[in-house]
Amino acid sequence: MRRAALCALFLAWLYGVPFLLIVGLIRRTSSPHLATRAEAQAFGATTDAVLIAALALNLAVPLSGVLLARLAREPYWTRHFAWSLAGTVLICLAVSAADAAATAPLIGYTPADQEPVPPVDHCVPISGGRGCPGG
Amino acid sequence: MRLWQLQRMDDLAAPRRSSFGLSLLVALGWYATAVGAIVVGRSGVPAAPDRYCPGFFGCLTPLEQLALFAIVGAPLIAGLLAYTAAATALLARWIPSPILAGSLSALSGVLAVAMATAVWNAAA
Repeated sequence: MRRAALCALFLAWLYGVPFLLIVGLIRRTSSPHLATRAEAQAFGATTDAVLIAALALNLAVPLSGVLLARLAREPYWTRHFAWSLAGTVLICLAVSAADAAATAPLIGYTPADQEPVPPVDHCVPISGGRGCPGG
Repeated sequence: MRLWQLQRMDDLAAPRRSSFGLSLLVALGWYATAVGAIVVGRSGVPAAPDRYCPGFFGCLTPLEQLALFAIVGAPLIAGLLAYTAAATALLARWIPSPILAGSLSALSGVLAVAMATAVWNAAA
């Protein structure tokens, strides 16, 4: 029972973190078609949530796993979770390399939207060029 | 087991190799994770509604693209699976953890595909 739980926790880290990272990076590097500014902000917020969840799980699962496996006195899983901390560092390095390669920040980026620019419906005076009636 | 392989006494109780089946499952899990993540990630990206879609394969959804690849790329997939089975059998002999053996096998499989693609592109 304890072994099955530790195994499930380890597999959640092993497969879950790369899964979330791939999903988040695909969303982040894609150019989605978003009709309004609100849609673009929602899309960016979801992408951020996926990437933050991946990074948080990447740190939290190995640390709690080492602790739980030690408490449960399972040397096999303690060893595995301890080594998975090296994987955590590798993933952090890969993500920071991707962050350095991108021109915009990886997290907190809002993609472009297709919302039309609102038409100017009042006179805007331009210094040296155009005056407005009555002003 | 030969004498020089006996590093510790408990090696007699725990052989320093891992189960082939479990290692292969771990490796296949990596492929499933990668394919699933690509399909899920691309499905979440909205496409323009007024795209120009000439021909039958003009605009495919990510799932349809995957199905098409599974048919067209069947030899490639079969080759990757055969390579993975061989690499896993080899690695599982030396690495006592099926998780590490399967992960390294999947990693080497991806590298093998990348190298094969590079060679193919250079030749074509």
